[in-house]
Amino acid sequence: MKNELEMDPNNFILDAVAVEKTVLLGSDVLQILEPINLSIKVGASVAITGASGSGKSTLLGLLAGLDQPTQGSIKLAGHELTALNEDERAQVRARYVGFVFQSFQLMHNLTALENVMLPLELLGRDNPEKKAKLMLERVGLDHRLKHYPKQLSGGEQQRVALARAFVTEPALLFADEPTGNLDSHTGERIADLLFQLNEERKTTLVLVTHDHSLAARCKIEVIMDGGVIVSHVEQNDSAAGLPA
Amino acid sequence: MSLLSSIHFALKQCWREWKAGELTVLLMALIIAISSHTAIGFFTDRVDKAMSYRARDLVGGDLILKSARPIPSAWLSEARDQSLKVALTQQFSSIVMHGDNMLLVSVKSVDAAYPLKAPLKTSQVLYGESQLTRSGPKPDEVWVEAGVLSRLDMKVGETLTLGMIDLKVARVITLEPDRGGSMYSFTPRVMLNVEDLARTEVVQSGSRIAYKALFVGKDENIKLFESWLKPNLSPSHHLKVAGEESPVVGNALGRAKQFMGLASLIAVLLAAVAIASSGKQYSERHFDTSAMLRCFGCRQNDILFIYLFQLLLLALIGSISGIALGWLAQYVLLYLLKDLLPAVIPAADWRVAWSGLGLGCVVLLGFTLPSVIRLRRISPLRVLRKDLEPLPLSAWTVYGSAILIVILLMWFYTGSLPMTLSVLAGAGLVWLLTGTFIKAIFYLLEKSATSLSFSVRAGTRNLLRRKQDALTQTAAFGLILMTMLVVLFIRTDLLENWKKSLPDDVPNHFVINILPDQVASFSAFLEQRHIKDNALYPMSRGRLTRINDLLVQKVVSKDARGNDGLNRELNLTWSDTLQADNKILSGEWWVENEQPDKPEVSVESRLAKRLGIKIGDSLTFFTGQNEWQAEVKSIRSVQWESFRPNFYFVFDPRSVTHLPATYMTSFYLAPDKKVMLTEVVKTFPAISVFEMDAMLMQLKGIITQVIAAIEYVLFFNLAAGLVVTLSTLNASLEERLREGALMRTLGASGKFIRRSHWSEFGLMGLTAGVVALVGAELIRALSSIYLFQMSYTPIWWAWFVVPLSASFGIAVLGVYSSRKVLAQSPAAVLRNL
Repeated sequence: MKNELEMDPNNFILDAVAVEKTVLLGSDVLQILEPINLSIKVGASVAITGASGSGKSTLLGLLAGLDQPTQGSIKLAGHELTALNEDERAQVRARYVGFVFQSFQLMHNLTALENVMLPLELLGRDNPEKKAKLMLERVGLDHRLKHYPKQLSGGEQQRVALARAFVTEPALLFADEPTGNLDSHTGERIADLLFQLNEERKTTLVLVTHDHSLAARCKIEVIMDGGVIVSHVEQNDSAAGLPA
Repeated sequence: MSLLSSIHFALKQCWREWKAGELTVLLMALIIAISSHTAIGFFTDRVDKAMSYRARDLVGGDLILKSARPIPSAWLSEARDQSLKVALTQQFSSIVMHGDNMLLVSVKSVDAAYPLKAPLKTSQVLYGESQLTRSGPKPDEVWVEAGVLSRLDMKVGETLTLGMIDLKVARVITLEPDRGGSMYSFTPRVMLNVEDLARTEVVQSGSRIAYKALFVGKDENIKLFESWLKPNLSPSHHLKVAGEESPVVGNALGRAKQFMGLASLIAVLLAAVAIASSGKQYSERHFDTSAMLRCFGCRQNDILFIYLFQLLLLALIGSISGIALGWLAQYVLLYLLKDLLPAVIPAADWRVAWSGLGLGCVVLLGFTLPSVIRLRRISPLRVLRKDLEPLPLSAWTVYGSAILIVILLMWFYTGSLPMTLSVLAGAGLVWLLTGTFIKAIFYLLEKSATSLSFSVRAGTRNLLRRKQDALTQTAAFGLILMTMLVVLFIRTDLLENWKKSLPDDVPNHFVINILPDQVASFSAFLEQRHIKDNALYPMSRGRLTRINDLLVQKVVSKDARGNDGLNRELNLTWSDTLQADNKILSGEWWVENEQPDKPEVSVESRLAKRLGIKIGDSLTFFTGQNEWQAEVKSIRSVQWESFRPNFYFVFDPRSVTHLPATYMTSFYLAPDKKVMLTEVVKTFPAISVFEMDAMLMQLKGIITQVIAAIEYVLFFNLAAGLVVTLSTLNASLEERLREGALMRTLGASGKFIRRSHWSEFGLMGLTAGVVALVGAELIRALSSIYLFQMSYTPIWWAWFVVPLSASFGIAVLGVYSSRKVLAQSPAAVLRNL
């Protein structure tokens, strides 16, 4: 395992080349993702959008190393994910990646504070409690430290999830429909927080969303349909690109 | 993750889960299982020891050495050196006199240490109230049995003459626990202090005296002394180790031990069912957590380590708490039984605690490991796709390992492979039958569902939708019910068997030496006094000398030489008819009016087995001055526990006309009619009457105690089964909560949901009841025939009562455990999904 964040000369933190995914349904082969190329530079914010079943969550799973592509290569922080086994990919995730999910995925038997402390403890970082408290304070939940997820509202739960995702200061944050389970008002506040944190910590953000307003706040929007990237829009300066 | 941070994390997780109440069910299941196992273990271990000590009372010591010559004092010193207590007795026949009356008695002289084990019972007047007496007679006095007073026509306080001295009768012996011996050889007891023995001058060189040394001490000391003593013994010495009890006590103890083995085996089975079910839940609850941990970068082995560590921790906590609870529970049991148990109960063996700890670890890890191993294989992608579940292990791996563990555990704890296999066969049958039966019922229900009311249909659909879960749950109930039924049925069988063998009017008096010309007048005498007499049996003394022309000593093994059937004169009898409680096992009983060519004999089955006697063998007997032969025509089983006259050898009456005979009988005499004995003895001075009341009381005491112990063990098992049933129901609570909330959201009334629960659980209970009954009856049949040697008859009433009460019972428990479904608001439930 490489110790430092290794970038390729183009400063890409994530570089997917000809990635495709097929699954076997009985004797039929179903192509979920056609060969896809996508490179994301350090500090970029990328929104992957598309209709249900367009393959955006599958792509997110592959980019984050949660699943293996059938073909192609994915480099995350210089590590070729397709060459690693599951445990080695787990180590890459531990080192560089954070997650935010639509269903929050908080551990319901842990308090807000314990949920945020968990990734720090797993990484063996110093002062996990102090860091977690600071982070919860940052998301405005310092009065909810001892509460269990079921005692929190949806917006509060997602704020805990954001705190948990950012507390390890990951280089790369994946978010799967981070506002999908929230009403529009709460969703907007969560989005504000997400982008603020992203800005503060210089995290690269990759999010999957149906929400156009959320997608519009990203610097790049990748639109998918039927397992293919049909559009690649850069909102202003170029931070991502489709390699030629 | 480093090992240290894994342990740290596992500990924290465990603590957090405990705080959140998620380990409660698993831990409670384990604690209940281990506490019931250890409570029964501690209790049975202690009662077992107490009963075996009680059995030692019957022989008067832990180790008994008999000899025809004085026992070397060096041996006695060696025993004392090895921290054993020693008492010496001498026993011989002699004549005592009072006035003009003389009586042949069995004299026993005892030293100051006697009795070492159970106290004697004596009274101050004839047929007066008995008191426990922890010493023997003082010098210058004798204690006698009631028969001595009535036959010598004397009272307590008067003197009798033994040899050269007069001794005052100070007390009447009502129970001499170590009297032992054959009841036919009884002559009434006269007990005196050993210091008076020499003065009587009845003991001369050449006198036939049985010297006995009784040893008492710790088991290990007894064993050491025994191994030291054995090489020094000559053929004239006879060493008896306590535990070689009389057949009656031996049978009672043996059956009780087997029963308790069965009871502790059931605790193991209950544990297995509860742990497997809670373990599966535990694993499934951690799918999400594991996927999340994988997302955070945990390796597969980290995940496995974390859960294994947690399980081991749980196993330790659960087992230790279970052992502590079990330890307390056994005191409650002992307290409840205090009147029946001996005053001093030996301490329990700590091996029971270790077995509890081992059982806890093996059961928890053994039954949850297959589920927990799945957690290792969870895909991190589950955080995005909730439907992704780890591949299940093959059914063979899961059930195969579980069954193997159960077999090994049961074998280890019962030490009986037949018992283990018969219980497992029943359990296997329950699984098989449950599967088939549920499928058959489902098929019928699917066909007839439209004719059912809507709420019953909803309950039925609940079952149909969760076929696999319903099958597992019903099989679990079936197994629990089956084990309870087995315990209940076998206890009832044993109890009835015992009661049958010792009814209230069991003969408590034996009469021997009735002369042939007195038979008619003696029968008439009893009849006039409305005493229900048993048949009179002719009796002649004789010795078995050869089997098929070979000397008995040469035919039989060394072990069998100690057998009573060989070492002494036996009572031979003859009869046209087979005694009611005897049974021909092989060969044939003789036909009346058929003159045999040569004498024919029927042999008691156990003796025949030990001596290797078969049908057609030729046996040589020695009676009086003659040797003569008889052919074995049949082998008979005998109810030795019945307290009726029983014989090793019964002859065809036509073939033994040459034998001289006196007659014997036995009868029951109520305590208030005892005075009549004096009249009997006066009218027929030649006969000898033996009172068996004391011995009968002692036996009944043992049996009552055993039955009471069994009832409490049964009660404990029932309680454990009930709690395990509840915990199994709890396992499916979460799903029921979700369904209930959805149903109510869709407009279902509370009444409707309750009704659907009633029908769902009622159906489940009915199914479980039927399969449990089939399994239990099968086990009962196998155990009765092969294990307890009792006859088997189906319990027909159970076929109505068990399924219906199981249906009702499970329905009540199920509806009760699902009460939360209606108590929580649907919104609260759905929000937590």
